[in-house]
Amino acid sequence: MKISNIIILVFLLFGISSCDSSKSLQEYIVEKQQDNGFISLDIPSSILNLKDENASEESLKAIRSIKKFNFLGMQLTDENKESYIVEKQAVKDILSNKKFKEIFRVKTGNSEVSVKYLGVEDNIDEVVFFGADNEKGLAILRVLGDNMNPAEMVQLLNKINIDKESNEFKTLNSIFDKIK
Amino acid sequence: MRNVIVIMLFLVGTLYVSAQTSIFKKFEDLNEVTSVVVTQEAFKLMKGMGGNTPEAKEYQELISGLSELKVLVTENSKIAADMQTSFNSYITSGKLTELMRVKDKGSNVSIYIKKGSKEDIVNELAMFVNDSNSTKKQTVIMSLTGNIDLNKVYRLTEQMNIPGGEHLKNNKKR
Repeated sequence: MKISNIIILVFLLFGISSCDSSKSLQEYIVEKQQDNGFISLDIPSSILNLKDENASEESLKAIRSIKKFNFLGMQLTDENKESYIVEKQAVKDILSNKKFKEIFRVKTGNSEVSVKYLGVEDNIDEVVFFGADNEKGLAILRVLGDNMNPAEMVQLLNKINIDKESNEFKTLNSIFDKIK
Repeated sequence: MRNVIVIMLFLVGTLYVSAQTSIFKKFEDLNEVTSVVVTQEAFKLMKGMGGNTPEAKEYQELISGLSELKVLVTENSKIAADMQTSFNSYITSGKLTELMRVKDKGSNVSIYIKKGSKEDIVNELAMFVNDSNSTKKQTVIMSLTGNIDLNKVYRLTEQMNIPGGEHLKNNKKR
């Protein structure tokens, strides 16, 4: 009787701990989208247009490999200092999962930026930009895609136009204006 | 008596290990330190870029051997002194040898290497820069690990705009 209780307890503990550790960035973002302290934005990849209408098959393929952008931000005010510290740690904990491969990180006195990705080197599923500034707030930008190739992406950068008339772009712009 | 020796050995051992691994960790989180870490993943991603020109080829070759680049910069003189001490013990414990030392208008640059299997290929390149020349005093530690071709590496430091990187260029004329 006692032994079986212990076994059940052990299983329960394992169950709880595995649930905890598997909280994904996706879940975190969905959860915070309901939170008034956060600004969130889903940007479809249609915001990107190719400058050249007769673009090569390659650049078409590259642009199609981007599915959408996810933005989540928290602007620091006098009231939310404490929750900023909590949320910053929460995001960092999620991103410290080994499946996120770190590309680089930069840290200065008050702010830090890191870029990580999911997938393999020439076949990227997701790129995550994380930035936090102890005076401004924090921001996460996810670029979600399917088989994104970094070399093609860099070439693509010169060939795309961002649709500046789209609502998503205007919203994003106003967010950045506020943060400045 | 024997216990004391064992404890001493243990302490020395932990010091030795921590000196190697924690030099960057220790300073990275300090508020008055700017740090940059570029991981192997970044080098893997960069490998695919640049096209097919001979220059790009050379660049890709250099990049494919790299593991990690770390840079620490501070303007705080107290932290700088601490960095110097840590760097020195890192050099001794990691058995790095001095490659060159440059003193140029108030900036002191020391470059150390950890020898690799072949000549001109090193496993680590570590640099300490003390710059009191400019209006802002600056101390920089840089460490680059991997299989590094000394004849090519200055291109990378040039491109990434790392302070003191220009001194590596002179190394080529050696």
